[in-house]
Amino acid sequence: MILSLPRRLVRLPSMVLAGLAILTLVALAAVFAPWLTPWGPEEMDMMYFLEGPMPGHWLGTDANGMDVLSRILHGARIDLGVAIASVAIAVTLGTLVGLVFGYAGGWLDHIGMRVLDMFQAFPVFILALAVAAILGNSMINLILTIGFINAPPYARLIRAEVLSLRNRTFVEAAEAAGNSHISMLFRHLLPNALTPILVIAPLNCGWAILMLASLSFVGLGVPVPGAEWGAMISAGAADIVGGRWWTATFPGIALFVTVLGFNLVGEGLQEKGVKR
Amino acid sequence: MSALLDIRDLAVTIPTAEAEVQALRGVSLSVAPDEVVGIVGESGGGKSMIARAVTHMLPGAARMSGEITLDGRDVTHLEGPALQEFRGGGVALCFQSPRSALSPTRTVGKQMADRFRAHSPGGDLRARAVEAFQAVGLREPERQLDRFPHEMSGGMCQRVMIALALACEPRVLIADEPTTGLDVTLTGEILDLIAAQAQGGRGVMIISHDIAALSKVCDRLVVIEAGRIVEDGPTREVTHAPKNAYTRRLIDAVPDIREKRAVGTEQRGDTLMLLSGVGVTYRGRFGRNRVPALSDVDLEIRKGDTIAIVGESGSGKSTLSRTIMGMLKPTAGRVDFRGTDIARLSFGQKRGMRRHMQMVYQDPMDALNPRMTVEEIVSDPLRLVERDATRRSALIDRALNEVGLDPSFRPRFPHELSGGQAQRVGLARALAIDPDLVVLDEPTSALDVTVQAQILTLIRRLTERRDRAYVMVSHDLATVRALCDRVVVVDAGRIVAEGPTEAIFTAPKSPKTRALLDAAPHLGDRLEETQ
Amino acid sequence: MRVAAYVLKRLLLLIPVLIGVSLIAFFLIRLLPGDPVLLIVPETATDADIAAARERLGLDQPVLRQYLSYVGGVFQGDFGTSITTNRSISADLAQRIPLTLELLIYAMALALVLAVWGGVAAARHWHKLPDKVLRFAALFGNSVPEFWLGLMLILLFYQGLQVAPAPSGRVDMDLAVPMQTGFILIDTLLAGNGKAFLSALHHLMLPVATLAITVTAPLLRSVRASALEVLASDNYRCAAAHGLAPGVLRQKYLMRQTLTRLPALSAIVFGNLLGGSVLIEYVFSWQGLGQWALRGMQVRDYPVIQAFVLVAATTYVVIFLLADVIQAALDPRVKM
Repeated sequence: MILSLPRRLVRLPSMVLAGLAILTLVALAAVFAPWLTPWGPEEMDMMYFLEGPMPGHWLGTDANGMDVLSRILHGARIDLGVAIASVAIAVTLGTLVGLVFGYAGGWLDHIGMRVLDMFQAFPVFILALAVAAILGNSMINLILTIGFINAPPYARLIRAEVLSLRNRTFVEAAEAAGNSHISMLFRHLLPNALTPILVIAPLNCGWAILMLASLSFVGLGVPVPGAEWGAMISAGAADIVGGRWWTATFPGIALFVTVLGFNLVGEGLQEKGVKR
Repeated sequence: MSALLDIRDLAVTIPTAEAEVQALRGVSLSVAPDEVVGIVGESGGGKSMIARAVTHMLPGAARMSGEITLDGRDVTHLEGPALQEFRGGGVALCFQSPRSALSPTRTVGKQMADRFRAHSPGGDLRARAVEAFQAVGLREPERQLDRFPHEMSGGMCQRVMIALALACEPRVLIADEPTTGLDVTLTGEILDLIAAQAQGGRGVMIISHDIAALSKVCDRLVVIEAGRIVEDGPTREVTHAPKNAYTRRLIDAVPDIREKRAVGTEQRGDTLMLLSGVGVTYRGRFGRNRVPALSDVDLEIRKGDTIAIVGESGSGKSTLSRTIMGMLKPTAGRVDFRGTDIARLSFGQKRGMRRHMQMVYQDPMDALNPRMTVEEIVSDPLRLVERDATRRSALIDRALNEVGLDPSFRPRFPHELSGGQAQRVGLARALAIDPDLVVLDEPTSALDVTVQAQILTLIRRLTERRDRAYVMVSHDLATVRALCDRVVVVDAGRIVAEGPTEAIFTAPKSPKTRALLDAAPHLGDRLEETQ
Repeated sequence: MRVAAYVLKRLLLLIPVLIGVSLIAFFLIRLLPGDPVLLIVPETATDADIAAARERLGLDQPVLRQYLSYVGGVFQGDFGTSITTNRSISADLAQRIPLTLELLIYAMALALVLAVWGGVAAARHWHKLPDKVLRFAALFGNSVPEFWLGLMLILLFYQGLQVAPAPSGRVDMDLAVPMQTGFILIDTLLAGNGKAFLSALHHLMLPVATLAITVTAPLLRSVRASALEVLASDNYRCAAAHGLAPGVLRQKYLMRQTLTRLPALSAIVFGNLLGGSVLIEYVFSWQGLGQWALRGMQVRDYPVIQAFVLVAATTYVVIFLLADVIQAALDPRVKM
């Protein structure tokens, strides 16, 4: 299994490999941020306020004299962490709900899908804004909000997958072989329904990061001194008109590159699926 | 005889990730004016690749060599308007599954008009389309013009497909597996219709896996195995005196309807299952469209029986088999199995019954969980009765052995199996638990002909032991006669005939039985006619 | 006739969805930890003040009655009043919705044109240069944060090249025209003021481009994917194998079938656009619905949040219905 991993990696499309390379770098930055940076994420350098890139502050400082590079590296922890935690919640919740609805069918499925319909009648980001505004912006609340809001598509996806699997002979054969409901769900249906999740989950991680950054950008996400990329861009937006471009530009590049990494992996896997 | 379409030394190579696949190697064949040539071979043999090469429809990465001429003109490499004219006007292809080969968003009348405009513009296109539809045997052609493909039956789509190809006024008509998915009674009609187009100097090429069906309509047969032509000659010579071993295998694999069940006994065992007054009605949305799929079915299955359920698609034979298996809840009547009415059992109670009845399915690949190994698949029903892993393992080996599979197959996944091996695994799964009743749903119809023969031999060996009851659903009367003691003919949800096989075959009483018997394909029809 | 019956049926099916939407929008506010009244009254308020505020807002009533009276009000066009500005929410909505709609409509139209043109072109040149370029562009559009893209465009075109106007307002200050329809392009034309019209276009340029870039990407990918699917389909190959003219093949077979799948996705993308407009209005100080709602959210002005969520969801649901009707008209296989 472990020995065959390198060979399986080589067979992945170059897009996926490029994406994985980016994500590995971002993850390393997140893990080693305290050792890589001379400054703490919220440490102020009283000598330099809003200074451009220079030795010592390679990406400049912001209006509070905080080092942009240090904040970006520390920001990887928050952005990556929130994205992965919330997608894990969305996947688990959505998969269980979709599996049960699709398998049970009947009125449970019917009512369940109508409820999902109603939640999906709200544009995702607007629902996120409203819930974040109401619940307040603690980290746990943000993770839960983004996780719950992203769950319905997974439920739908798994349910659709289960419904189409139910037309497959092997599922009928499994029932005829005398499997129990639990065994039908977890031995026969779930392993065959998971493949599309593999493709959607990376794309969704990118989405989740964008959502977190967007919430922070408008002041409903990570609160002000916090080193989160969207919040940093928000703080730097005011500097742009004055020509101080670095405070908003660099965190944006970090955000863009990370999301790009997730999208490369997701789209590459999708492309591979299409070919097969 | 001068050739109309002449193919010389055609070779096609398709590069894949792992290796280069040689789809065709040194293929030379020709079609003369007014001639019907049949290309026969099993799936994956490369026969469809010939049609694709001729019409310049090979997949992008494929490489082709050789020479193709039409009326003496080289048509191997064409481009632009010349290619556009040659496609359709030179050679027109009837695609394999007509429903998906017709545009879903355009009426068939407009699709006809598109072809007329491309190859022979002028005149009242609507009137011409009506005439063409009439010629291919579409009823009410005027009304069909404004319909979409999804509003038509499979047979109608196939006729439209033929009309579309003919609308291009081709010199050669090629039909790729034109009868897939059609009922036996329709198969003959469609093949006759296609063969009839070989007139006025037009040549016809029919590609099929069904040597029996081709032998009825073709002047010449070309047999393809693994990308090579292994035999090419007049139909009669090929079917009566095959020179090649592969051809002989194909011919031997065609079940002969005159062959009877070897062991026949009127001594029947104890009653195992009794269906009385069973009816199944599928409910449409909001209670509308209530169609009875089965009504008033009485049937007795006894130990040792091998019973065939025969009927056309849509006749209700699958509904009947699923009702017997307890997978469908009948809306009327009782299904007594070992003294219990299984129609009234809950999911949990039915699980207890499963150890006594098992099923084998039509599409063997689809019937195996793609994420499980052979071992896990076969042990799936066993987990119901045998908790001890070592004893279960012994039972798996026994079951695999019974269906002629080596224990080394145990760690394999379904995608690593051939169709025949997959069906053997399906049989092993059904037999492992030693059930009293086994339902076989068209167990060979998704397999290649030579594999079909092997699986049928295996099933025959199993049924001859008479230690349990077998119910076999089939549309193939020849197989049924050779394999089953009793026959049940189903039509429009009712049993129209039932009795010992020989009685049904020698003196069919119902007209439906008669029709099914007449449509059953077997080799040599055409020979008998010409003799 | 068939279409009319279909639309009517879909409208009837809309009723339960809208009831559900209003329930969610209403009870969302109840997620609020603690008592909403405490947010409204000043810190120094006495218990009597709080009770008075509670009564004034109807919060002393049973929850179900509060819901019914809220929905009853909405039906008469009354969304209540903002608790921070005391302005009528309906009046604010009427004033701000056209501004936002204007952004959304232009961005969507631009995105659809680009996506259909680009997606089909990419599919026809599959794995060749145009396809690679367009796929890279789509990947960029899918990955770039829209608010940051807006800022970068301001940095480049306003701060750097100085070809764009400052990110505020809809026309230059000295060119104000009377508002009649609320849509600036129409109003400037109605006023016959050519200079104002051009200025309005100038101001729309960057926000519309930002929104369009981010929503073109998913549309382009989908058009490309469905065009590829059509090109590989038996029915397209059959038409090609029968030697139909290239123009007929492209228009009647490729385009027609590719477009049948577009409406459903466009509706989803429109939802993203609605969400994105909040960010873009913030970046460009565009005084539309999004800015208004955002202010309400930042101060937890719950009637504003409620109204915004309700309006956005209703719009979204209606757009979906519209998409389904267009789809049914385009695709004969859809059962009406």
